[in-house]
Amino acid sequence: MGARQYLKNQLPVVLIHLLGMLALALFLIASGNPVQMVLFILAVWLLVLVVCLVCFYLSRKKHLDKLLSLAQQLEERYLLPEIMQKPERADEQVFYQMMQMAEKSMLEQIGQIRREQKEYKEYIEQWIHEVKTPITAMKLICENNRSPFTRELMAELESINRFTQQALYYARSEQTEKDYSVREIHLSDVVHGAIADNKYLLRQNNVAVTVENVEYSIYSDDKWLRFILDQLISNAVKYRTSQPLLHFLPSKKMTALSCLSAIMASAYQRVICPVFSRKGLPDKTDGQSKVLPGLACIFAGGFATSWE
Amino acid sequence: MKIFIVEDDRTIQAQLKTLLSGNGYTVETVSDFSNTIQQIKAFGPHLVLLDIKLPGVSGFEICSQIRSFSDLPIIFVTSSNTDMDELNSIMLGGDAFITKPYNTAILLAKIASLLRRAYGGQSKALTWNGAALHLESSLLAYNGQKVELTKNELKILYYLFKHAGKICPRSDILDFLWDNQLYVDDNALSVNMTRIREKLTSIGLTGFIKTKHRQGYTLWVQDNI
Repeated sequence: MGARQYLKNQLPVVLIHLLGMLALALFLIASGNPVQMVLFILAVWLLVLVVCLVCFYLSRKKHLDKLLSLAQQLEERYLLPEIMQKPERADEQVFYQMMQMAEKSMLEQIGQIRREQKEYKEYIEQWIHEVKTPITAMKLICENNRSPFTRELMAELESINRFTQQALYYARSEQTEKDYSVREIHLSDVVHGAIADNKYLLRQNNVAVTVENVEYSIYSDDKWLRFILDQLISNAVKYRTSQPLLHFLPSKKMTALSCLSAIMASAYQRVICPVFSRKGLPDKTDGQSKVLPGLACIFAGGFATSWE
Repeated sequence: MKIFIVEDDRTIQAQLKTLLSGNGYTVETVSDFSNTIQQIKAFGPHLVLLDIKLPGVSGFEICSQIRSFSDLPIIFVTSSNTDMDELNSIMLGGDAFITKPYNTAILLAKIASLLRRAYGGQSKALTWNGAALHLESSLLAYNGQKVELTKNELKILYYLFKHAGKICPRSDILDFLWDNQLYVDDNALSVNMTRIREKLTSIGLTGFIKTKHRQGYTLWVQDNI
């Protein structure tokens, strides 16, 4: 609260006092009182007025600064009426009442949005689980009737499955504490599983695959790790060179970030790193570029804790 | 070996039956979910493939009921891949948890490994026209002569022995190799086939593998060797 603004607000009071002082001075002079006495009375009145204004200003400033600091400390500022004391002043009580009403309305709105968001997420998860049934059926039909035609279909099914997984993990990524469970897993199972999920895509694009040194037990979440590798593989294929080679070479001594880039062959670093740093991406950004940077931390965290 | 499928989607049911029957299993599927347990008891399977979300009943419930009278291997096949479902399946006595859309090679491998663990190992040697393929020692024997095989060569020969008498397209062999974590390309397959043929010739099996132009490979019948 600024002093000038406060004084501006108190201007009517000051003016009334000045008018009162003028009237009193005229009356006292008309009554035959000496000028010195009149001046003395006016000086005392002025002093009392100034002291009162300063005291009120300091007291108000202290009170309002305390409220401001309280509000600044709060993460959810709309909850201020919950922790502030009920004010004594009548006008402040009205404002307090208004704040309470605003808070109630805000909480109701937030509650409704959260409910809707939760329902939408649950619906998306449910939908993804349901859409996996026809994907499975189509995959089995293709497996049971192998031909060049069904192989092409299988590659497309792998893409459909990847996109549904992206949506599922994006929906889950905000609540990783509920979905991300670290346990002992075999790195080879995860790597080979991710390659198996992209078998037709890799073969269709003539990508040579080599896997080296993956016989480790690590501590991470296999679902998330496999999902991230899956996205990395599809990204690598998307930006492949003329003679693509996908080389899986993990190392025991790695920092989180070097792990990300080194798990793919150096030929692919040009492709993989930009995705994670979100630099040099094509103008047309897709769902994958949205999901991956957020997941990099989880991926790195899993590896860093288990490998270092 | 008999496998019982508890799955509510008719297409998946039929396709799984085709897939498993094609791999030498006797398969039966559930026809009425109200008396699944009776159907399982009547069929007497060696393994059950069980979906979690079923009409009117949960797969977990069926699993608990099966465990009350049998220790047969149960594989949960579900589209839900939450940790809670996986934990529940293990707590209730499930032996494996595979999520949809599953890789058929992994499903078949899991079934084979659970059956082997529960009912003992099968013969480790495959034979065709006097030639024996020993899987554990990675050897091919013919007329008292033996030749060692590399991992790739063993898998290629395993596939040909398993489909002996039929034509095996190159792409099917490549699929099989990729399913077994051997990521070879078309050229590498040709190189491996040449090496296998050289090894076969060294033990007197000349012309054992016949190339069918634009179709694939086949193991030759004895009369023509």
